[in-house]
Amino acid sequence: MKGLLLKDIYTLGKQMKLFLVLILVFAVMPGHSMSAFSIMYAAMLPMSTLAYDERAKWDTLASMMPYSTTDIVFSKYLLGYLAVGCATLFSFIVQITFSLLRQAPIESEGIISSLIVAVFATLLQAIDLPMQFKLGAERGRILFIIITVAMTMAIVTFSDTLTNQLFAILNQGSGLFLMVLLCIALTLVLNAASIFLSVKLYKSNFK
Amino acid sequence: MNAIEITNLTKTYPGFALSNLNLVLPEGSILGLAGENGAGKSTTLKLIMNAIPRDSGTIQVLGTDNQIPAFNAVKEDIGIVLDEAYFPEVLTPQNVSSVMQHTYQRWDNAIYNSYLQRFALPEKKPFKDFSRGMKMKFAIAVALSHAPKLLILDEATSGLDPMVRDEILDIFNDFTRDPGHSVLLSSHIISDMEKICDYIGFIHHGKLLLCEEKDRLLEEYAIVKLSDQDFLSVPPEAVHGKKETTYGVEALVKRTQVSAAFPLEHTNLEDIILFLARKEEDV
Repeated sequence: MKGLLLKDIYTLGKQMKLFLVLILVFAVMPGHSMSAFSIMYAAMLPMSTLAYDERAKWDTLASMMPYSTTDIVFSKYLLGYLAVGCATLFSFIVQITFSLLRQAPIESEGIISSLIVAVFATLLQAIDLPMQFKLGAERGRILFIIITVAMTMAIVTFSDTLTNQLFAILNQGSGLFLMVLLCIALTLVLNAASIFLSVKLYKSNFK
Repeated sequence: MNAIEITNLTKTYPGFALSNLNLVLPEGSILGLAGENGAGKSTTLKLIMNAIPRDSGTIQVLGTDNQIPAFNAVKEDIGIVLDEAYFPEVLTPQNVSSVMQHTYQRWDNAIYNSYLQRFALPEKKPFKDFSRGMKMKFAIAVALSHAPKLLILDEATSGLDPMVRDEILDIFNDFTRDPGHSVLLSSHIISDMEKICDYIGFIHHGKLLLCEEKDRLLEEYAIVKLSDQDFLSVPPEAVHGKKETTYGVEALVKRTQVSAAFPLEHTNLEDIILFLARKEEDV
């Protein structure tokens, strides 16, 4: 697993440097939503490695090396989790540091919004990776863009209803806490199902 | 012990079938698997590594059934060289070393570096900038740096100039000096096989037409060149392929099946394989 992760990190090379710069720049920019960009970018990194793998026919060689299919598939998810985790953690650190420098109380709103974006990023990764494993990097990416656009349009269309319902939940005593728990549980279940599906789809590519 | 034992292996694709393949690679020897492009050589190698599912048959590699989970550990003992390097091209040999250290338990950096030096491969250059010869040498360096007992090479010398090919073949020859080391080499360059192989297998349209010791093959077969009229006296069962020329008939025969009165000429592997393929086409 460590070997596979290292391969992806070396493969990303310049992109990793750009990623580090991005999380630094977006984290220090004013406004909570800015760090969301670096977190979302982090979730896209496994996609790039799959494109490099496909071009080099790495999967053919990897299938003959002492890697299990689960390791090959899970390493992509792990790369995404680590990248999203790093970007989120960095955004927390910067927000806390700024609050301390300003001698102002730490804003929980910023921390929670980064956490929600991180959850959303891993959800997108869970939707995207099985498609990538089945359809390949190029077609998988197109389908991913279509799904992301459709989801965004759905959210925009129903945003009023959603916002009202969200506020209703948040206004109930422990509503926020319950919602965060529900989101995390849903993300865990979807990611587990996504990994299981990806392993099946990845295996089906070798005929 | 046999390094590889394949029994009744079958794999079917739409429009192609690898049928009932039986093949043995004795430990300590080099087996060359010849065949035209698309004959089924790469499919066989993938099946040996259990990289694709089979329809039927069994495969034992280094004494282990390749479909049981323990085969993953056996892969530590197998060095793979495919027709390209197959690593993402932005990686450098130095990067690959770090990756392989966490892939193969017996990865030996000292051996790897000695191969990089021997092949004059730059450690820090992404190998997208390597020539084809350099890429193949790099793949061979990787395959040999984790103390493998078996090397599986798929068209490892195709597209290389004769100097580089010769250098690479010497390495494979050196590798089998250890009696516990074996090589399975798939290629359509017959002259390479003639140089280094102990055994020759020939796959044609998914069927294994022969698998024998190279020296025995060369002793067993001969070429006769006769007029059309004289050729009629050659026993048909002795003929293993023929071609008609403007001067008469040129045929591959088994020495033991023809009279010593016929003018027999020594043959080479390429002729044996071409005649056998022609006979199969005629059938």
